[in-house]
Amino acid sequence: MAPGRRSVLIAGAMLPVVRYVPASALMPGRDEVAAATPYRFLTAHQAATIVEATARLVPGPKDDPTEIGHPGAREAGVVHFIDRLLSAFAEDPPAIFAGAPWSNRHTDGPDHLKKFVPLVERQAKAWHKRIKQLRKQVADAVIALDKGAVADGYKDFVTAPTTEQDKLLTDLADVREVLFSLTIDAMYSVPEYGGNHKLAGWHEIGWPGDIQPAGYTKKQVESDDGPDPVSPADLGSVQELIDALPILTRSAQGLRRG
Amino acid sequence: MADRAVVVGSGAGASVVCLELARAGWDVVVLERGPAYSRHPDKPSHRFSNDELKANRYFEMPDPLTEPRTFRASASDKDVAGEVNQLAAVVGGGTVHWDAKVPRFWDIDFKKKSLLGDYPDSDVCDWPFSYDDIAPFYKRVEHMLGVQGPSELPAAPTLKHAPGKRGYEMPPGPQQFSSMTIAAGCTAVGMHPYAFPMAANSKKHDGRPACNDCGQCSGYGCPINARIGALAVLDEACETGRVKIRAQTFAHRVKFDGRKAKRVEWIGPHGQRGSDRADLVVLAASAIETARLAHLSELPDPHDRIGRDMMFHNFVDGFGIFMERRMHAYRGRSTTQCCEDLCDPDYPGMREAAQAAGLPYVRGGIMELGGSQDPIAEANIYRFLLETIHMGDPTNQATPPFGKRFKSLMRSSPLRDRLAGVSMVGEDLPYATNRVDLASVKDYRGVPVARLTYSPGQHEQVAVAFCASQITELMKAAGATVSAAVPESLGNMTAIPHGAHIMGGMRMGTDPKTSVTGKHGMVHHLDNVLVADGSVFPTSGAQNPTLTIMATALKNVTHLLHS
Repeated sequence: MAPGRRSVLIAGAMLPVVRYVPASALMPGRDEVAAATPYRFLTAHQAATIVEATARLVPGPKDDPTEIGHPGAREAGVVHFIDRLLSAFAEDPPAIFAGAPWSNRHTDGPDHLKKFVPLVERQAKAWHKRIKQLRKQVADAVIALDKGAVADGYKDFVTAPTTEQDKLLTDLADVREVLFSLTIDAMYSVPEYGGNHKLAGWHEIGWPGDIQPAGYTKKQVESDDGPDPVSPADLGSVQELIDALPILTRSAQGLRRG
Repeated sequence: MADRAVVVGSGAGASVVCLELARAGWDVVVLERGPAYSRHPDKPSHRFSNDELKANRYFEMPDPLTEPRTFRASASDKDVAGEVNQLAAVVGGGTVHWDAKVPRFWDIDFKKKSLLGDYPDSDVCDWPFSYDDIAPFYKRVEHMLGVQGPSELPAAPTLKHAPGKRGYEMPPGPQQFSSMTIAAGCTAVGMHPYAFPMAANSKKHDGRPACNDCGQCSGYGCPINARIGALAVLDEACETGRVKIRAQTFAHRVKFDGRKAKRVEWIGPHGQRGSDRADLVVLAASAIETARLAHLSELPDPHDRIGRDMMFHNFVDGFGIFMERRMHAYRGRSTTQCCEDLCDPDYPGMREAAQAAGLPYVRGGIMELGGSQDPIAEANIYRFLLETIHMGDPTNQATPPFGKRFKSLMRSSPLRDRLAGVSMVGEDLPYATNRVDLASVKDYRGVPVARLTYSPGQHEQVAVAFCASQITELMKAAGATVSAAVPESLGNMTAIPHGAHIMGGMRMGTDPKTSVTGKHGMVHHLDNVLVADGSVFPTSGAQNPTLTIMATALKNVTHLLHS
């Protein structure tokens, strides 16, 4: 039996109700998440922990008053993206590779991206393995966050104050790496994967996202959009990044190339 | 019965060989380890979309969890398994998601030793043919692919070193604002940029639509088939009715008897094993995989040359950041302008830089102007940099390396929307110690994977240091508020190459002691094995390699059919 098939069955056995709710149907608030269990893989506690942790990594208006008008991980439904990925093989085809050639964001037609691409053998083997690893990493991350909170005198991570949450996410580099990279994928990918709810991730950064079959006009490609200086509020972060640029070597991704 | 060729791989080199063999009446079997995603562009099998995550999830790539390679910087190191400069493995090969840039190599690329002299501690040599010999094949491949390009190229340095009329079918499409901005910087420092020749439609051509400038070229399959690369050629080959493509079929051994290759053994989509009889075997699996297959097959190698002299381009990443405006490099075909001045070893200051380091000469390479990246890549760079800044600054432990700082960077977007980059494709010299052999690690089929041993040499270090300073200057001249160029090979000499330009390992030459294939790409010690990918390159050139891979394959198969 393939390892992933077994994992799905085990996960199913753990959940009282195995019910798939498309992420696009959900827009949970802070309390709703803990109350309902619209998750295929995550337990309510795991989900709540991920919601709070990822909201520290990419905060929205509920997490930081200075972010009013700027949605974050909570608003983008990051936890639903993660849950869907961790149970990707509960769907057929598995929810790994969104379809083609385009969504309905620039046509009146159907959203072809919703229809996931069936996996070939090499992909199925790799993704069973990867999801098994990810499930363990995510479960371990939740345990580590709770353990850290308890050691500092709190009941668990979810109920600890945000200063404590930030401290734990700063100290626990492995936890941060797992959750932050999943959060990034969820915030900025096409929403068919279950994150980027209401295109919150894209709107926030002014990214039009998938543009086919419309494309861009010659004018849009060639024109100078005019002055748009970095806002004074962001200058500090940008300057610090610029100072660190020489650190970028092959260990980070380079520019795209042909 | 017609002669029968078995072609391993279905990418750039394979496509032209298939077409020529089929036209000459051969039956051709193509063994491609990956699936067929866009074999028929207008049919539902078409699988590509504007989807950065899908690309990151190895959709068309070998996944390192099932098909890793191993890497070590030197023979004394232990190799580590993972993602090592993989190319797309699907029908069409790397060209399904290439950036489709098709500059020609220069005259000096083919005659480096004769024209530029000896290079100590390297295997620099001449190719077995000259620029003039390959020029007609360049033109034919430009026609086959359907290239958009300028009607006039710079007299110097481009036409001076790569003369002759081009086979461009279409004029250049819209020019990116970011690319034009950096090109203006090139001009201001005395360089000669021009519209990058690209195998993407700028108007309806070959039954396919014009590119609509969606901006997701490099690393993405084209959703509208305005850019299909080798599939344009492979489709034509299939129309002869003589070409059969076996997708998801991995060739793991060439069986030979004496000087004759007889069969190619393969493992099919569900692990079934089989083989195909061959009168001619064509190895075109891309350079690392072809060397791997040659090793797996134990092809005759009396002088221990198979897999040696592997080359990757020696990239420099330039970051031109514009604090006052957004460069929107996400609109339009990525990097619509290029500049070749740093390919010239006589570029002002370059000889002096070489001399100061005690080297005979150095070279950079073609620069792709005005590129950027998409949001997931951008976000991961911020994540990485914030973490690094955090670790390096013990006084700033109170501010976490995430949260508002991260959002602030994503909104202001210094490394995406304000970025107009320069990516230089620097020449990488051949060294016998840079090689591919077999690892003890196996892929999911149980077949040993390729082990790469590679580190850049002194030429590469001196060249990128010099070129990085030139790139910094030209981006300043373009008006970038911040201009920094990062030579990839400096500061991290053990880093794994990832530039997707892979050459050498089965190099052509006239002397079997120093080469694996002869002057027409046939394996020296066998009578019927043609190599038709970048592995035959004796030197790496300083331009994107695919056009030269195809032109060389076309030249060699043409010779084979007429000999």
